[in-house]
Amino acid sequence: MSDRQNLTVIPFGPQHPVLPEPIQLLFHVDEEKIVDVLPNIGYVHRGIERAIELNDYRRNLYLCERICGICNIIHGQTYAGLIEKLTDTEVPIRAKYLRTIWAEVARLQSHLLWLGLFAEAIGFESLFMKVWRDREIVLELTEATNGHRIHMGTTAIGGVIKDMDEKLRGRYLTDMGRLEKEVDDWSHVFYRDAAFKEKTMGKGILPKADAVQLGAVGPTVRGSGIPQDMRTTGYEAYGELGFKPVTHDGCDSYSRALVRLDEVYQSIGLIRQAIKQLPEGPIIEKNDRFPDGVAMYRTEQPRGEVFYYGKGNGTIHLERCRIRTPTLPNIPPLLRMLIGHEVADIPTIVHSIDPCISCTERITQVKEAA
Amino acid sequence: MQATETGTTYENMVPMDGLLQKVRELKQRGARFITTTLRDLGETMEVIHHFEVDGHVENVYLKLRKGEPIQSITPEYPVAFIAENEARDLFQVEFKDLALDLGGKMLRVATSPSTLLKPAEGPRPPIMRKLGPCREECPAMVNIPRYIREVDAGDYEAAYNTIIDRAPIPAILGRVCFAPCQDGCRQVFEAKPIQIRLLKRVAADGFREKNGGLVRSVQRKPATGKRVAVIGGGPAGVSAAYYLGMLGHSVTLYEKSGTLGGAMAWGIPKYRLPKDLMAEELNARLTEAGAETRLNTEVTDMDRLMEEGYDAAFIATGAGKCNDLRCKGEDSEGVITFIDLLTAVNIRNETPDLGRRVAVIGGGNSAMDAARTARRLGAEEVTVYYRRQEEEMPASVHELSGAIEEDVNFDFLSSQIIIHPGKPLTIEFQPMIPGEPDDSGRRRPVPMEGLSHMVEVDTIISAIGYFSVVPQGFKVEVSRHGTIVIDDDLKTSREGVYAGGDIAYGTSNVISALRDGRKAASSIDRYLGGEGLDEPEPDMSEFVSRQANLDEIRARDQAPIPEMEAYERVQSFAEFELLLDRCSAACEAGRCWRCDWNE
Amino acid sequence: MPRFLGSILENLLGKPATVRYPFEKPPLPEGTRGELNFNMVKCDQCQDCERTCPSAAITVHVEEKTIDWEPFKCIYCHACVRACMHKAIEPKANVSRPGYKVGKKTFKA
Repeated sequence: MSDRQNLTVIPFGPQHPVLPEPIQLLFHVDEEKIVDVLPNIGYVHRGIERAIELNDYRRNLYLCERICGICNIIHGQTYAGLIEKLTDTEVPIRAKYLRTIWAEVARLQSHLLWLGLFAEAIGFESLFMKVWRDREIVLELTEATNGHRIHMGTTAIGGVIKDMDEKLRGRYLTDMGRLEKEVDDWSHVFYRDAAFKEKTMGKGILPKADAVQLGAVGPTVRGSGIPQDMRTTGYEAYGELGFKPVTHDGCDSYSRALVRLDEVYQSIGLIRQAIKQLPEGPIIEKNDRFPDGVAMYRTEQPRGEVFYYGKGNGTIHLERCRIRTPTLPNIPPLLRMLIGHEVADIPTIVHSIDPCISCTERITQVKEAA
Repeated sequence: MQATETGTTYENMVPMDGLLQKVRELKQRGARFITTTLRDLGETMEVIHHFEVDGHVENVYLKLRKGEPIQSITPEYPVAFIAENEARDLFQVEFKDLALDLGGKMLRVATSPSTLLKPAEGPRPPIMRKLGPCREECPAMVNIPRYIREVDAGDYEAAYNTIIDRAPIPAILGRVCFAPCQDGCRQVFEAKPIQIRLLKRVAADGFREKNGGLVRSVQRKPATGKRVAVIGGGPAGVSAAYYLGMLGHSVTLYEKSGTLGGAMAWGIPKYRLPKDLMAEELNARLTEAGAETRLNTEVTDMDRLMEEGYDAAFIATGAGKCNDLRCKGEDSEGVITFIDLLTAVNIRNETPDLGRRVAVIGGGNSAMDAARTARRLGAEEVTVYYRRQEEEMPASVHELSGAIEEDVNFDFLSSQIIIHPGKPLTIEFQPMIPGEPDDSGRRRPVPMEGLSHMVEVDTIISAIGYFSVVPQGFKVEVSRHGTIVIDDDLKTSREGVYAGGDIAYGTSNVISALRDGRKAASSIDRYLGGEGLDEPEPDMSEFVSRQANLDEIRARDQAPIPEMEAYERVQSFAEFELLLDRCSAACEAGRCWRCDWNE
Repeated sequence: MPRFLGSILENLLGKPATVRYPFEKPPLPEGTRGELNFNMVKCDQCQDCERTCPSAAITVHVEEKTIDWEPFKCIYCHACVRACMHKAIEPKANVSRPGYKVGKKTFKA
């Protein structure tokens, strides 16, 4: 933070065509080079943690599913997992497999969305349209499962609410086959296209040591060669599917894009494997205990590690629920990786950490005008 | 599951000055900072820093007074600045040594003339727990959903105790109650209400088998030193005696005849309610309550009773006078009242010979009881004559269908005009047509003038209702119907004297009398300086969840009532309704929708 | 760029991926979570739906035997459809109509 007298300040945001949600970054630039960045977060807050304390705990499931639009089912599963720990419920194995399958479907949908938006941020609009057209296969699959294209809403505390019968399982396998064929059509553009590489290789460098010290999560840190992924802890059915995280060593936007593309293939493989291995059994387990005590639960969202801390006291209300979503720890690495680059690179670098600002929690206090 | 359990207790509590030391230790172990949680506890603040180390989560706890500045951990973990800035703006606390200060930009204040955002006030969705429609239909408010769950789990003792909390004679009720709860069950829409009465009997008989009797080992409350007299040994009297005894009072029960039970003893036939079981249960309750019973003692003078040193009295003498047939020749030989017949059969165990043809006049449960008793005494042609239509009969459906199965004939819309004495007797009946509805909603029968038919019978049983007579010596206010006048607390016009059951409300049923007994016990206890008994309230702290397999439950059928065959039944007075077996009982109890859920 | 040529040709020569709504309506799968219709003949005012609704969009008037449902507060999660034991809440498999007025819909027998 040296002397800033002769520097121009460019405000990026809160509205920008490349940003899905509002965030403001104040750039101090010297000619074309970025010297300093200051974040200004705080535009989207809905008081969710306070609302969780006021509602009774079984309705909070519906509230938590609506924290983020894209990664909704994993938020719901994390909340349900937290309550299951607080009430000592053991989820049946079939329900764990079903939750895993649907979490991977959500991850597919999110990564395909990001790949399309990234292509558009670079300027490659037809690739964006093609990727989103293939994303429709996943959305129609979600609609056939429970009726909405994005909000699956199949989680319940203690299991899942519906089962997958023979016909639906067959449809999943067919659609995964179709999707894989379509993704093969354009994935080579990401791997080998010269224009794409020109725009992303060597931009937004996050060295390995910095990634660890700044606490990055998700594909941001996996693009720097560190195999950090919550799914290795084996929650839900990941322990039985033999999961290994995907890493690339480039430390730049290109590797982060490749990490997400490889995760698309990995998700398709996991869904197929889980459907073939689906065991029999009940799909929900109910018991008669209120949430009591302290528990923490972490899962892997498409953007990184989400952390829920909950405290119950044996009544219908939770005393405290703290939610830390993955984009929040990804902001300090973002500030670090922007320094030294040019102004024209800002949209792609900001986009490469997959910002989902609506997940983060801030406060907006509204006063009625007198 | 994964090992995130470390640090879920307050073992990692550090004082304020030890915080940086602890954080440095964690940094040396290679910990990664996750986030910070703050909690406002009124006077104090609780601060929790979450770290991930060695693959699991560890928490560092701090407790400090409000207003005290918190040591920031940004000197060790600069990335914590976002979490700490947010905490600072949300909770208005100060952080010392905060590395990057975002200048209060986290808290945004927006002023807007018309805004859809409203500050959260309190829990908006209604958090309620209902009692359950079955429980609300029961006059005594027995906790039906709870004891059905206990029968489902096989815990008959708990179910027995749940029922006794509000109605003290489950074994008797499981056989004789008219079960208004079953008509209130929500599954009556699908024509399969839960067989609540059968489950009650399963609980009582199951407890009796396991316990070797019906006497429980229960503690009475400490003795209050007050004495209460209960006049009448029927359901209302025994119920009041039980609850008053359990509250610690010293109770004396006076019964005019030689058996306890009142209308249950003489009125309900032996094939419905075996008398030894009835006596066993009534005596069990009185033993548990420590009450003294004085049989064959009639009380007619209230002043003399109170002089014996009682602090309060409860009148539950019931009803015992039969309504007149109001036709010529009703006192001919061979015309008997149902009270006389049933008392002879049920209490004195006689088997009077009624001849071959019997006419029963009346349409209620007493008429059914009289007719079916007549069949068992050997009468071959038993006909019930009722002046209204079949659907307007006050008798319960399963009594009526049982009577039809036992070859009882019915003649509707016939009213008696004259009885000609002789052997055999001849009755002249007049046919009626339904006219305008009267106050009870049923259509008043209008005689068809000039028409009549004659019937020859050996015995006529009159069963058109009964009423109560209050002795003058009680010195209480009596209404024009012959019942004692009471207020909402069952208090009569005389100080310290309460009344309930048939004598106060006119002829009703067993479960209403049990309710009156409990209510009077509560009022008397309050009159004598106690707190009374509690009223049913939905308990939000009890957790009841709906079953997970509701579709499978909906597909089950209702358990049928297990009974002996009709031809077998009329051979004797043995109890013809059989006990539901354990497996069917669990299946039927599992069908309950748990309308009082609170999950 | 030349790598993408195959896709471009396929797109040029094939038919569009979009459906020309409102002239053609895409077939919605069964189980689509759309608007609600309360069948008051089957309802027995047990208030289970009111207790389950996460956004308090349902109000049951027990004495008048009517139900108020607010389509703007509803989040279309269909928890009430699963909670009703008489299957009195019938979901319509449609996309909810655009609304311009915040208010209640009352269902009477």
